[in-house]
Amino acid sequence: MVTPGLRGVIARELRYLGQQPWDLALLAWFPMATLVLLLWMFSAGVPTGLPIAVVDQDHSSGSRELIRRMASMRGLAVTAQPPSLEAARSAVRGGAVYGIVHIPAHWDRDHLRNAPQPVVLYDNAQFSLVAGIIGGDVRAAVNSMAVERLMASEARFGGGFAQAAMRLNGVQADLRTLFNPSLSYEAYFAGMLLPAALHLFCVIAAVSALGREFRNRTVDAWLASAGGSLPRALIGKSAPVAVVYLLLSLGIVTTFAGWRGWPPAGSLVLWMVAITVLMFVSIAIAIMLVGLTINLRRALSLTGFYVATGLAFSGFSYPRAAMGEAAQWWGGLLPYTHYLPVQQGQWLGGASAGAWAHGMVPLLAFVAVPLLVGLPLLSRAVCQPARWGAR
Amino acid sequence: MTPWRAFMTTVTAALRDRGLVVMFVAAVPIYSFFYPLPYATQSVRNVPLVVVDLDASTASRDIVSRLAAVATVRVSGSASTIGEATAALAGGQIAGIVLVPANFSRDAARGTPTAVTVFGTGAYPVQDKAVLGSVGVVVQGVAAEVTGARLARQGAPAAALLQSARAGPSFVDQPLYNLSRGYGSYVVAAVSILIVQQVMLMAIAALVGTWLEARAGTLFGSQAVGFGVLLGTIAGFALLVFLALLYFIGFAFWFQDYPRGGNIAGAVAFAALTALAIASLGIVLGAWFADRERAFQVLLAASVPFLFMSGIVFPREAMPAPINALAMLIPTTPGIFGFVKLNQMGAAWSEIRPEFLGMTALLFFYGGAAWWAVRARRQQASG
Repeated sequence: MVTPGLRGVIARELRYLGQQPWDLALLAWFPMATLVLLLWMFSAGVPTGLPIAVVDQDHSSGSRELIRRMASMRGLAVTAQPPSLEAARSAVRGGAVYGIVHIPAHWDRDHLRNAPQPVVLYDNAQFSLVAGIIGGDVRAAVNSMAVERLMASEARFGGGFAQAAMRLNGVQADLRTLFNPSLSYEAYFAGMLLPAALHLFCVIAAVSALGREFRNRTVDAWLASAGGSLPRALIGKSAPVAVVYLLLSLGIVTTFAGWRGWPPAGSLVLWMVAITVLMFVSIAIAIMLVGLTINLRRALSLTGFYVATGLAFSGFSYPRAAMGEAAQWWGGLLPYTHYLPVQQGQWLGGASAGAWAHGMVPLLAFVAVPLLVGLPLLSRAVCQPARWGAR
Repeated sequence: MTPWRAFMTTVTAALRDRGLVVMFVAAVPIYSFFYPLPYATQSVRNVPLVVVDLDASTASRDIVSRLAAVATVRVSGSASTIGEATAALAGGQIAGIVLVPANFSRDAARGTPTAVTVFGTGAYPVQDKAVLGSVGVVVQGVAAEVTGARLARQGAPAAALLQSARAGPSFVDQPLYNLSRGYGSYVVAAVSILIVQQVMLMAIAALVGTWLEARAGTLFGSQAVGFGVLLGTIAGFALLVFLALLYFIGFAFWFQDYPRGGNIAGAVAFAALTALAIASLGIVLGAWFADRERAFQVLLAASVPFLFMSGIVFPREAMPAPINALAMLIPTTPGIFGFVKLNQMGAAWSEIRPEFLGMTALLFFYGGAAWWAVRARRQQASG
């Protein structure tokens, strides 16, 4: 039931947004542009044609065959064949190539003499993701040649290639990736960064909406428009933020599941419920941060410290189990850490409803606890005009 | 006002603003300890695995005991069916599954093709690669031994088997830089430059915005603003940015033992150039926002896109050309590449030519934009 007071505070909020293009942009246009940018950024899915240099000091038919095989790998592009390792290293430092493949002199001959020398890939681990892709592709190219040669020599013992393969591959290591098996970086980065960005934008928008009443010393007018009730004033204040961010979050879920064609392995509805709760968590955190500071700038600084760095602690790239104790503990205090496994479970993994419910409990606590902290502080601050206007 | 006066006034104003002095002086050191915390362990370790052993033989138990010796993973339990383990993998409770099929030991001895399957989860690609890589090596080691033993029984010459068992690797993957392949060494080297840029842009733009609101400071006070005053102001802000960059290059990398010091002189020179570009951009943003808090609202959420646009995580080769072009407007784009090349890769000055040219272009562009923005705001105020 919409009371006149609630309608009044919402109308006041909308009027403000209508008059202040900056605030409207920060609430809606800027987040939307960022989401589109992030989605577009990774649209290639898997990086291809990463430039490498090959230093071929063997000049044999075998080394030329290896170069051909490397050039045919999806992730690689052999863009330079400098004469020496020193020249190649300069190309790495200069950024022209990401790595060097060194084929030593007499590589082919020594192989035939059964005293093989290794092919060495010098990659650049300062570019971790690129180094991983290049390492995997160069290894695959080298292995494909090694296996063929091994097979050819084993086949001499009889039974032809089929028997030789049986003998050599009696026991295999079968390495498989379940869920997102193509390791699409688009699904990986966009899938994790978009909800994180939305969560951050939502906190910023709610902190800004609430904090500016204190900054502008307009708390009285704000409360008056809500008929003097702080809870009603907060609901009315959060309503535009909530509406915009619920639309945006459901928008990214439908973008992933529909337009991009990554249907959820679990339940679309449970995923949508989870991201909806994340938006309410964001608003509750904003109420807490403004309550703790009664200062828009400080509340935004705390948002930077608490929310903007949250991605690093969430385990989205570096697994939480591998972190030190302090980092694991801090990560546990961040809502995104708890949201992420719920999303990945419903979207990619196909986790059960039970696992979802288990994951949602801490997320709901992130609605309740910040409100319990923030509401008493706010209700005290709205009666202390001397504290308003702090910059 | 002389340029020197403008410089001194700017530095004092930054240090006297009670709200912003924390940003100018303390925020970078605080973030330098806080942000690298998750990556301090450097390499993936301890991620939980479940073993589904359908064979229950000496050979399968041997695999499990070898897995216990791998630092990357931790055998956190066993499951009796693959379905049970897959549910835990889907829910994210575990990072991988090792499946030893029924009759594995018998098939291996007979020469019937069989395989140990390792499952990772693509929902967490970094973890997936670590699990498949480390467990794969263990399983391949076991497979090679089993095959060798069978070949020996079947009469292969012992000398040949020994030779192949002791042969060196046919492929070596050696990092040229970041020699330990530390995850932190890769992330922190890049993000530290982003932290300095974001913190300093917020602080500078907030102070310039405050000046504009109050019609005060070197740029928006009652005195005329000539080119010298703008230069002095840029230099004043740049000094604080420069010190923050030196703090990371000279102290934080050393204290936390990240790769560093490849080309100190080059890094210091590039830091001076970067500081001037960031200071100019900060003035532009401050004059544009005309508000003390706006910079925080705008820049907080920009950090993640800025980091990815720099191309250090996801390569530029794979990004759409318009995004790469847009990225050239952000100081961190030449900045992160330039500093990683100088600090971590020991590049010579000639090897950071593209970054040097990019940063110089940004300095002139934002210096000019600052000149224009300040004049436009002053005319607006007087007109």
